[in-house]
Amino acid sequence: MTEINDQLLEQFFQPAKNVELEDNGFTERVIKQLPDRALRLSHWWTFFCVILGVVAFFVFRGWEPIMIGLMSLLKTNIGELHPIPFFMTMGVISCLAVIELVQKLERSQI
Amino acid sequence: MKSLSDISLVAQVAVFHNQRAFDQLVRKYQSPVRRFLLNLTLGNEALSDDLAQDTFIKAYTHITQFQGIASFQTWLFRIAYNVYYDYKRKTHPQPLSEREGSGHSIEQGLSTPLTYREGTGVGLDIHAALAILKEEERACVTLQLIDGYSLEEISKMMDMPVNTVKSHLRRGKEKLTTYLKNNGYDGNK
Repeated sequence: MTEINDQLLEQFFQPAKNVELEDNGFTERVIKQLPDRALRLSHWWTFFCVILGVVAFFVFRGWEPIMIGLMSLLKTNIGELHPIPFFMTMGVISCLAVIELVQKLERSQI
Repeated sequence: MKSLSDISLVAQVAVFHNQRAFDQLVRKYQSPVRRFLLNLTLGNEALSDDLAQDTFIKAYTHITQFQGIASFQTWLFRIAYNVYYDYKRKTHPQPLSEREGSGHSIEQGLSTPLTYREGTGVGLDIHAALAILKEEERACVTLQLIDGYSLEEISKMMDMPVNTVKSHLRRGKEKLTTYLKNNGYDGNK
């Protein structure tokens, strides 16, 4: 069996000890490649909200106020603002604004 | 204190997916992880950097599995060794333990950029010497003689019993001693 010369080995490997490798953009490359969980979560959140909206539309007979609104719009003078379609439009805009706000907040956490 | 700040950074990554905290961890540990992989790949800088990148991405995606029993660096090295092991298994289906070091060409290491060696004065001899070892012997020798880890830490990193680590170290050191003596290295180089 060969005798192990620990001192010889220590001396041989000494130059390689405590060698600091420069970063040289390594960390940035790693961070860029990380999976974007927050963005994926926000996509799921949007998808969930859309599904919820579609289900609510059918459960609460969402087409009825739309039809009433359209019929009323046809009966009233053009240019006159009718309350039902006006409130519906405002509701849709508000929902979209809330979704966008949530997405922005999630992105800003990164 | 060092491990306390590591745990704090890990917690921020695990709970809030805080990439800034992870950025700090990568900056802190990129050098030891890349150096370890550089030695395992016999100085192949491009390959070792790719493997190091995979190591950190795996650490990020599995950060919740870090239990804090061992240090974060030990956990990272374990991932790094697994990434290297998987890479070798994909490229060479033969098990690592059955493969002699000479199968891993020294030329592959020598033909790659020599920044590490040039910048540090580490001669070509170290990677040439490491090339005569089997993969597992090389990992054990590198972790003990270059990175200064204890047997217990190496055992955790490589997921093998302490006695197996001792065996790899003994065989690796015997081969290296013979190699150095045969090549006229007397320690006064």
